[in-house]
Amino acid sequence: MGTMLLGVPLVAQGKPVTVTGIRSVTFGAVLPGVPRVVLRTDPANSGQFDIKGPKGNVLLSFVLPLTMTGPAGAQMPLTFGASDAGYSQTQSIGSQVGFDPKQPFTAAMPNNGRASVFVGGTANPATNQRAGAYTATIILNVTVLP
Amino acid sequence: MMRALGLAGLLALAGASLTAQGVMVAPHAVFIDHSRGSGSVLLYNPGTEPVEVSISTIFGYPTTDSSGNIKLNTIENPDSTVPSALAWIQAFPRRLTVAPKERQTVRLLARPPIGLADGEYWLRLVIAAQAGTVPITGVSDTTAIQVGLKLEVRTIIGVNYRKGAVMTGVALSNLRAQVVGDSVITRARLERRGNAAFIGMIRETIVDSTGAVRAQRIGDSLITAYQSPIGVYFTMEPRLASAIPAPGLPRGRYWLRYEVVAEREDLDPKVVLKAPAVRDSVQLVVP
Amino acid sequence: MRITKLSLVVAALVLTGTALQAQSNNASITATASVQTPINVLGAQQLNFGNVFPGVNKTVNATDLTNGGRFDVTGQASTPVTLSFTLPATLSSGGNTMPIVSYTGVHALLATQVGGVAFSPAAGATPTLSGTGALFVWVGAQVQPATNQVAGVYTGSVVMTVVY
Repeated sequence: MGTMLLGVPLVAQGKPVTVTGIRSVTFGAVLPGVPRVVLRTDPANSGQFDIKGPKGNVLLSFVLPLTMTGPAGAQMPLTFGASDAGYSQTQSIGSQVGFDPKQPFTAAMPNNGRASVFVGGTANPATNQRAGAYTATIILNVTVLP
Repeated sequence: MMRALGLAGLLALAGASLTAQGVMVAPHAVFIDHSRGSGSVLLYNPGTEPVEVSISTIFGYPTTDSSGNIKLNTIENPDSTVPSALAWIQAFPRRLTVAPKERQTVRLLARPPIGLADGEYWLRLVIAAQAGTVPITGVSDTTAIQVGLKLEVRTIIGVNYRKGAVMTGVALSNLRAQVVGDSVITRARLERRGNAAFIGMIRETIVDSTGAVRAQRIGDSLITAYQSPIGVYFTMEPRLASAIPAPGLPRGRYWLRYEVVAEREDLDPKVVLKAPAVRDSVQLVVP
Repeated sequence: MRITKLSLVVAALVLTGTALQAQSNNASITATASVQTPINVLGAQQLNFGNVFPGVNKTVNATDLTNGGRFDVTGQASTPVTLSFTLPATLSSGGNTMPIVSYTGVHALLATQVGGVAFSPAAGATPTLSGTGALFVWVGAQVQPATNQVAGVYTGSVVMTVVY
């Protein structure tokens, strides 16, 4: 009986949270010395994560790269502004609450347990930036707050 | 007339100014793979005024003149003896205006003929930008003579279309070098191999009799090897001039090591076809 | 029975512990960019003849840093480029013309023109960009207004073509 009483809420609280990387942040063609900005509202180039989890609060925190790595280990600085991340309870890029991706952000999951996080940023190629393809990894941690 | 001249004198154009204008063109060499069938060129206007741009295409490839200077050998109506893509690669749009601090993309769409043989096909993109009109300033006087010159720039870059198996290489021969004034002048015969242009670098190193590398100079910087980008489309004998830092090389005999490698830092490594490096050395006499 | 009770307690503790431990998950995406080396050719300074008077030829030399026309080229270091020019023989104002002749040119790796090389714009030039990828090109010319030159604004275009 005790197990039954404990088990019901535990199962509900134990609903797994899943995070899925949907779309990369795409800076596209970048010119040396010319910063390239991707807005979190850019439907084609902003990054997107989808979250599935229990209704309630979740803590969002990013692991952000400082640089992108290119040919022969060449580095290109990458910066993120105070409003370069956005949270959407409706999973709509047009309906976001902006937040600073460098700081943890508490968000409320909607009743349907589905939400999205969008992210933009700025690539800052040096004037002598070596030509070629550059990549970096952006990680989003989602923690269900008990 | 004197009155007119006096008023004309008031119409000094010296105050007229021209904000630097033009467009950045990137990349400076376009490589299109047959499987994708299209390419693009990015135009960026770093200035403060809109720049009008027109795009056209020609066929041509770099070669050298009798003095070793690199020149573009253009052919108005290329026939089947040359690997021309002029007839089937088109640029869109042909005319555009790039607003200040804005970027625009020119698309290159390829419609190659059916049965096109494997290999590399070339054309050149001509990007013409009206680099600003000289503002005519001064007192409004219909008796004055004013002179204004518009500056226009045309940038010509290469477009290389690759289908199927493409390979390249270069053969090096007839290397010679001499010291002229404060410069080392070299020439060598470079002959392309394979079915695609050789895109790479020439590296030159000066070595003394003890085997020690002697510095060369670019601007105010000392370097151990002078290097120059090169594209060998058929055959060429490029003349390279590198500077010797003051006070110059002591009299004696040196060796100039000459190396042609398929490496380019200014291009995406993915588009630089691999090819074996070729090397030679020649004695350099400093009188 | 005791064992059963103990099992239930352990199970409850395990489940409670699970519930109290915050659930966490993560995912990653990539950021990508493609750096493309540009060539940049700018009209940097007008060819400025200043006052022009009927019957008085006016020359601006390419070595004139203040009044010579200047083009700036930036690109990959040490890259040879081919320069050619389309030069007007006359400037026009409506139906009237004014000769412009004797073009001169200088190219240099520094904006100060130190170490510059004189060339004939009509013949073109094949300089090499500097170790920092810079090249500066100046153009001068002479205008020859006739003694009865009709007043007006005389214009023309100087076109520099850079083959990269």
